[in-house]
Amino acid sequence: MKLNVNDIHKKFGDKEVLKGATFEFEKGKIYGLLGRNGAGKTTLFNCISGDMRYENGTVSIFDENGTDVTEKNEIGFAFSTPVLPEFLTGYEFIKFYMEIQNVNEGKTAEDYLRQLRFTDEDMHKLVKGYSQGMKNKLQMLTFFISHPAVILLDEPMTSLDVVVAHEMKEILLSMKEDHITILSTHIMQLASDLCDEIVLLHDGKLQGLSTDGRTDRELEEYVMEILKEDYKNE
Amino acid sequence: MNNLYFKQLKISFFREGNELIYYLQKFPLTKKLVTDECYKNRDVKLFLSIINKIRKIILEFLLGCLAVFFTVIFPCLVFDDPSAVKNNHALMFHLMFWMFCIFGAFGHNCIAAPSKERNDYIMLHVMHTPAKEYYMTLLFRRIIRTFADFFVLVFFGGLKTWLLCCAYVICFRCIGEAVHLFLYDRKKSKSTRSTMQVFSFTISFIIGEILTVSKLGNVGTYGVMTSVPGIILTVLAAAFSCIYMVKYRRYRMIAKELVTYEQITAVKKENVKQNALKAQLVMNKNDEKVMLKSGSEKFENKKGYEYLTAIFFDRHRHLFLTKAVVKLGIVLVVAAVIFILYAFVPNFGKSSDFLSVARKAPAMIYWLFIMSSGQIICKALFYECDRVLLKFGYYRQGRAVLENFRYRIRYIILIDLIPSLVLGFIPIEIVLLAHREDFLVTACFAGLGYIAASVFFSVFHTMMYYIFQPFTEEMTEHGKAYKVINFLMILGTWTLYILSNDDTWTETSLRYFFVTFAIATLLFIPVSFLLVYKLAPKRFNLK
Repeated sequence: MKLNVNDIHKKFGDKEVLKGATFEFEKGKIYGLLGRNGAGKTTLFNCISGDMRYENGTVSIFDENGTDVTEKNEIGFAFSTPVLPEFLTGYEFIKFYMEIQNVNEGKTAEDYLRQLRFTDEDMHKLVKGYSQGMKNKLQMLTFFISHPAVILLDEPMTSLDVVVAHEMKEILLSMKEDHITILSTHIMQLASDLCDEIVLLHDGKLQGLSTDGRTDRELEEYVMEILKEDYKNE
Repeated sequence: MNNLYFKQLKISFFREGNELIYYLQKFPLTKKLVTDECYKNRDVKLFLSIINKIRKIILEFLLGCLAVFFTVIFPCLVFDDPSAVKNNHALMFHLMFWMFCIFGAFGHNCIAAPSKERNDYIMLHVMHTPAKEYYMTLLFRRIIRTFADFFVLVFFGGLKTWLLCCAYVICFRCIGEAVHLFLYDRKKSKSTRSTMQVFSFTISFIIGEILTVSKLGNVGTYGVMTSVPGIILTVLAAAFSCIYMVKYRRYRMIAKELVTYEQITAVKKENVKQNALKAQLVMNKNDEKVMLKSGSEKFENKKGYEYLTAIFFDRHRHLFLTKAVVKLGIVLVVAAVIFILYAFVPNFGKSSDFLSVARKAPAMIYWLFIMSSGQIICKALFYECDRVLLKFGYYRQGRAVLENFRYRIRYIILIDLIPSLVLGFIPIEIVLLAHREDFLVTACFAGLGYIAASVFFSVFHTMMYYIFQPFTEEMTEHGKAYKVINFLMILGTWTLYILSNDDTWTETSLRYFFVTFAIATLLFIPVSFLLVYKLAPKRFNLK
């Protein structure tokens, strides 16, 4: 399965944020999307998920046979600040989510929640009382249920403590084989540790970055070089 | 200080210029004229901010003059009585002294006071302006403003009165600020303002207003203020206060404690909170605690959107039901009063023309519109549920929208039916008590009409919410079409209210009216589903 982002253009007023972003993402890989603040990472995610209209270009998902299956596949989007209905308990939210997704894998909501180490007490607590980490995990859990072809994670590790961040990494790694996972981040270390490929968003375009043969230090310096060019171009 | 004053002015000029450009870009008429380029153009920005500044100065001047007029001049014009005061000037001074020199100066200080002004925060914590200089500039600005605020006195009391009043107000401002600084140090609390406000207001109100109005005389304020010792004492106190302020060293601490980021953002948070409260969104405190597993078990037989809706209405039941029960209580009281009047007051309703009472029946449609909880419940649904879930594609799909709508209107109709079902029996009650059984059929139709109207308005509000989704994430309302249609609906029901006094209503026309209303409601329900199905998937989204 492949996600094809082709020549996406997006303008806000006079400012063109995406100037023909093009890239092909493959299943089974985690992509780290890097770019400076305001480069358009969230905008690109919104365009891919279909939440934002763009002036030009296409976003398509192709299966192994090369057939366009965009319509049949959902794109999962996890926001940096998790958005969940706070009047529900974790259990109720997952049960509701399973029902509207028509999931019938023989698992109950409790099974899914236990999979991500939610205790009995936690799952029957209102989401309102959850920590940021728990909310993030609950958001991730929806991907275990709906199995979207593409998972977009907008700065998923922001404000997570070390333990939850580690758990999140484990979750992402366990899911990667079945999905095309793209995560935007500012943390170079996270991108090089977790991601199979790094994609830079600079000057409104996407550029793949090979990590082969480069040490973390060299990679960081290389990324810095490219991003500094953005400042010069401004 | 002057340098800082102009620096502040310059910064506020450009900030306001930017703000004005931002707002002008939102207006359809100016949208094309004011482009992003304006942000870069210093001259345009300066021009816009000068216009904005002039507007603000004129507005502030007018407001200041109005405040002086209504607190000082207007009571003089109304209560001027030679037996109570010697002349206009005396009363004017008397009121001015208590309202501005005492309440104004001690209750509305600007230094040791918590600030909600963004500009204060920017200047003190972002620009790192020296706190002492900054506060002195604030005081200086207030002093300058005093002359403008009191300018209206020139026309009523002459130039001398204006200057004397300004001098007194300025002296007392300095004294007030110094007293606040002194108390701030002694009290070791974050603000001395509230205590002083209550104290100065009570004193000013009792002595300044009540004694004047009750004609107990002006207790010699004018005499003291115009006497040489009075003037010398005031000037001396003001001078000592100024020295105290100049020597004071903890301005930085005041800035740190009283001008905080939380304080600035509290205004916005408060607005959101107020909007939230308006929408009756606060959940039961018991629900906020750990939920028991049994809390979820009672919904186990429900699925999907029905499950979500059932939980929402259950968790917010005390809010919606309390309102419905209060309305029910009012209706029951009305029914009881009607019963008592008919049962115990001899000849009640018998002497009057019964038809004139019956003609008032359509007026109740207007009250049913006012009583409908649909709008408030939709606001709550948006704030607690849709604001979050609308971010997901699956929630915006046509099937999901329609299913959600179907379950929601059931609950909204039921909540609104609690009082309106009882209301539907009131026409029958009146007919039976008045022994006018010949009107029984019409009364039944009226009752049916009331119930239909309640259902109609519940569906109407929910449908409007789905078609126009008028709320933003900050809980403000937008959408002209939504407002216009709602206004037309109010106008329509209000017209009905006015028409209910019309003599042209006959028993037959009343029957027709209520039956038509009931039929229209029955037809409106499938139409609303169709409209929601067709329009909501495109329009029911986050704004």
